[in-house]
This record gives sequence, C-alpha cells and structure tokens, in this order.
Amino acid sequence: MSVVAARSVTVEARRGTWRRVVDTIDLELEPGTVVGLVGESGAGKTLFTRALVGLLPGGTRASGTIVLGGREYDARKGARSALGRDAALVQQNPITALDPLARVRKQLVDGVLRLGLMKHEAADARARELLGRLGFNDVERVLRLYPHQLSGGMAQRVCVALALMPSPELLIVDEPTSALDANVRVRVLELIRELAIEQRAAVVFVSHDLSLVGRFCDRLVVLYAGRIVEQGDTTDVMGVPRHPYTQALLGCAVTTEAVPRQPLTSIAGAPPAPEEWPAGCVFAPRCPHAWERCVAERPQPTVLSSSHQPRDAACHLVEEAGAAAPRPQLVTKEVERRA
Amino acid sequence: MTAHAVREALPARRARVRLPFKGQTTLRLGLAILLAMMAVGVLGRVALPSADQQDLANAFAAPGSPGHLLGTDQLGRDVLAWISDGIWIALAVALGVVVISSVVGVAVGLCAGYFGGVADMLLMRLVDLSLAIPPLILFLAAAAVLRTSIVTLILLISAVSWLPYARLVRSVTLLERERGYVITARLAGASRTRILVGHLLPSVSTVVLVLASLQVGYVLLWESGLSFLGLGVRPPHHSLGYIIAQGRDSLQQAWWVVVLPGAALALLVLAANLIGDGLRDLIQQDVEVAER
Repeated sequence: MSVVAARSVTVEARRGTWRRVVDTIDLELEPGTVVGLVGESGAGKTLFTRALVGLLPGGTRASGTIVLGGREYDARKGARSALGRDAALVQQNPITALDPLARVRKQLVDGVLRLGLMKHEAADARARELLGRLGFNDVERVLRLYPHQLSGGMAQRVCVALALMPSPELLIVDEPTSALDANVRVRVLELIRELAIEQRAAVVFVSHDLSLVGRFCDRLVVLYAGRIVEQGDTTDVMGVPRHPYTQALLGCAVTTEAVPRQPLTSIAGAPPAPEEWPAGCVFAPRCPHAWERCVAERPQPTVLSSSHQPRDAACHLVEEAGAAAPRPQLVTKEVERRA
Repeated sequence: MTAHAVREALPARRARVRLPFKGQTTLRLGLAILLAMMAVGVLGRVALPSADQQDLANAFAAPGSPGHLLGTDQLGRDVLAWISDGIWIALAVALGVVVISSVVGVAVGLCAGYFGGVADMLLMRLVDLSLAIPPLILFLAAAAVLRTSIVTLILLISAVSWLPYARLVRSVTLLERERGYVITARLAGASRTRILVGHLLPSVSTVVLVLASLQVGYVLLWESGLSFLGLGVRPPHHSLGYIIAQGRDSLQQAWWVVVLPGAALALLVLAANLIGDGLRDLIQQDVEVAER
C-alpha cells in the first residue's frame, strides 16, 4: 500500500518579512479514504493543498517533504513532476477551470496523451467511462461541447473526470461545490467519494462547511491559523469535539432547528493575521475557556486515542482533562441531536 | 444529367448561397471595399499593358479618355495601371508588416506576461526604449544608410509596429495566466511551452487579430507616406504615395493624378478599419454569448 503523506509542510508568505501562514503540518493519507480539511477563510487550507502540488502563488514559499507515488518530493517545489500522474486537484470554480477554446473531449484526453500515460483509444474509453460514472447519460454529446455550453454542475463533474483521468493517488478537491446548488452539490460529492474509493485515491476535501464535510469524509482535520488544532475520525470529531475551536465551529452550523429571525451563532472576533499570531495558543484571543497558560504557552497536540489513525487536539484543556474525559461544553445540544 | 434535373437543382443551390458574417454590416462593408480594391488591382494587371509597354502619346488625358479610364499623367502614363500596381504593393507591405510584427510582438508579450520577473522587466523595458524612438526619425536615418526596397521597408515599419502587440499580449497574458484553465493545464502536468502555445496563444489570438486588422490602416499610411517622401518603394514598383508625389507638381492641370490614388489609399485604409471594428464587434458578441 502506497502512502501519501505531508511531512512538516510549512508555507511562508512575504509580508515585509517571511511569515508562516501554514505551520508545520503533518498529514498521512490513506488510499480510498476521504479526509476533510476544514477551517475558516485564511486558515491556510488552500495554501497547504497548493503546496502539496507545487502551485503556490507568487510571494509564498514552502518547506518540508511530500511523499507520493513511492517518491519523496521537496515541498519547496512540491510534487510538481507528479502532476497529471499521481496528483490531481479539482479547483473551486469549475467553469473557469476549463479552457474556453477546447471541447470537453480534448480537455479530458490531452493531458494523459501528452504525458504518454495512455494510448488514444484507451484515453477515449476512460473519458467515456468516467463521464458515464459521473452521471452523464449523453456522454457522446457532452464530449463535443465547449465549456460555455456546460452548466455549473456539468462543468464540475467534467473537472472531476479530468482530475481522475490518470488515476491519481492523491486527489485534492478544493471547495468543489461552492458554485453548485444544493442538490447537485450532494450528488457531486457522493460521486467523488464513490470514485475515490473505487480508484484507491487518497482524497483531501477542502471546505469551510464543517457540517457538509462531516457527511462525506472519513476523517476530519481542523485547521486554525495555519495549524492543525484537532483531527480524528469524522464521528469522533463531530460527535465529541475536544478543541474549543471545533466546538465553536460546529456551533455555527446552520441546522434545521435554527429559530427564524434569531441571529445565528458565530465565533466572536476574527482569525488573527499571520503577523498577529500570539505566542501562546493561536485561538486564545477568541476562546471562551482561555486562561493564563493559553496566552503564555503554545499547546501541543494531545493524543486522545491509540488507534492507528491520529486522534488528537492541541488544547491545554484537553491536556489537563486527560484523554479519557471529554468535556461537553458549548455544543451539548448538537451532540445529543446527532446521537 | 437531363435538362430537367439541372433546372430542378439550380434554384435549390442558389437558395443555399449565403453571404458570410450575417448581421455584421461593418465587417461586410469593410470586406466588400477590400475585395473591390483587389478587383481593381487584378483588373489593372490583367486588362492594361504593363508599365514599360504603355502608349505614352497622351499626356494629361482626362479620366474617361479612350483607352485611359482614369486618365494619364504628365508623361502619358495610365493612372489606373499605376493605381492597380500601388494597391498590390500596399497590400503586400501591409501583410508583411502585420505578419512579422504580430509574430514578434506576440512572442515577446507572451514570454513577458507568462514568465514575469526579470524576463518581463527586460523585455518591457526594451519595448519602452523602442517606443521612445520617433518612427519618422528612424525611417529617415535608415533611408540615409540603407538601400530602400520593399523588404527593407517592411522590416523598418515592422520594427516600430510590433510594440503595441507586445504590450497588448503581455497584459492579456497577465490576466489569462491566473485563470483557472491555465492552472488546470499545469495540474495536468503540461509543460511551459505547452501552456504558452497550446492554451495562452489561442486565448490571445482574438485580440491580436483585431489589433492586426486595425494596424493595417496605419501600415498603409506609413508605406504611402514614406514612398511619398521618396524613402519607400521606388520604381519599377509604384506605391500609391509615390504616384501622389509625382502628381503634386501638376495638381492644377491634372487633379486626377493626385486625387485618384489618394482615394484608393483612403478606401484601403477605410476597409482595414471597418474590418478591424467589425472583427472587434464579432468577438465582443462571442464573448458576451460565452459569459451569459
């Protein structure tokens, strides 16, 4: 079983001096599983995934190691030579992600043909198969369309097919559904999940919608201000969130029980900009439970269970309470509802 | 095939003939003028004796004189023959300049826009530097040093007219390179060359096409202007500008020697501008459809 992993991946952005915007992230990904990467805007989700594939925007740089397809890549360049072979990424906006001047068929087969991964007929057959699996009934017609003739949902599925063409080991899906309406969204997510498991791809699913991610991911990784604050199986993290940030994030989810005309719950304050990161816990300024230790000392991840999958939270509360005793706090109601 | 069958087939075929660019009046008008001027050029070449075999008996024959539809000049040379020659020269120079300057300008603009950094800085400062040289001074200086011919004329005009292409293409490339599909291409493992040639070149091609067609007008004027000054095309080839220069001394006796080539030049420039505007409208329309 090949492993996809990020080891100590750090991303720095130039703002006068180099500031860390993604701080030493370690992440092991297993084939056929979907990992949700959640966090507010600016938490570093997108930068981290871009660092994995070596497509960081200008003015940023990465360090660390990326393991992919049995090779180690220096994160400074990212797994760039794995692009189009072992690593794939589905972008946020599906319509602009397709070349406006090329038909769907050409876009799908062009990459694998140019990299010499497939012969012509094989690539055509695979494009047809993937589109068919993604719920297109009229594959032949879709193959002849130009991007502007596709609807948002169609374009998104074409993008997913494009990403899966070379059977990548790592598939990153970045907010893939923000352009879609609710029905299509669920359908596309289910298809991505289904195909990923079938193709044995490790999927990283980036989103800021915790409740949406919770329905489709096997594991959740919660990012805050460029670091992992909590991770674990989806059921654990959603059911018994240990980090106050995760709890607050879950509390923000809009549920069917929300009372009309009542303000929705939100987390007070805003995430700190990289130059304002405090010396202690990065969440301390907004945390309802923060005390002196939180301001003074940066919490390390506390391992909460000893399964082969990491389950930890970086919070002094968790550390002091010990692994055994979850403290139901803000989201008691949420937990009961889900249970 | 029987006569009956032919009669059956004919109206149907005639019904299928449609003029291109439906609804694009500007573009159609421009193309019509251009085709008409080219027809004049062909006509002059085919129907009239070539320059060295002309009957020079009639000097200053007025337009409409027998054998000289547009009259003759002070030496009895046929003005229509001159004009048709001048149209070909003008179009040949325009084509040459547009091809050379668009190829160079697009290459420079794409590289500067896509690679950015030092490459962008060097290339664009080169463009700025070149733009700082007044074209007329450059041409005068070159004419003093070089033997003028059609080829040197094309190269000289190209030397100043690739600059707008480079600037335009660079700015479009800067926008396009951040678009999702370029990132998609990189994600699919496409090389730099592949992205430049396969994705960015097609996406800048439309604006380049419009700029090129609009620039034809300027090139025509430069060519005639330089020839008028005696810096451009010289006999045995006849530029429209050269004819006008020849006729200006006898303007009071024979207005047609100056006015008719001038009108031909004006029509060519008009055609180029109409085609450019029409193409821009056409592309704008496509863009609006695509964005809807």
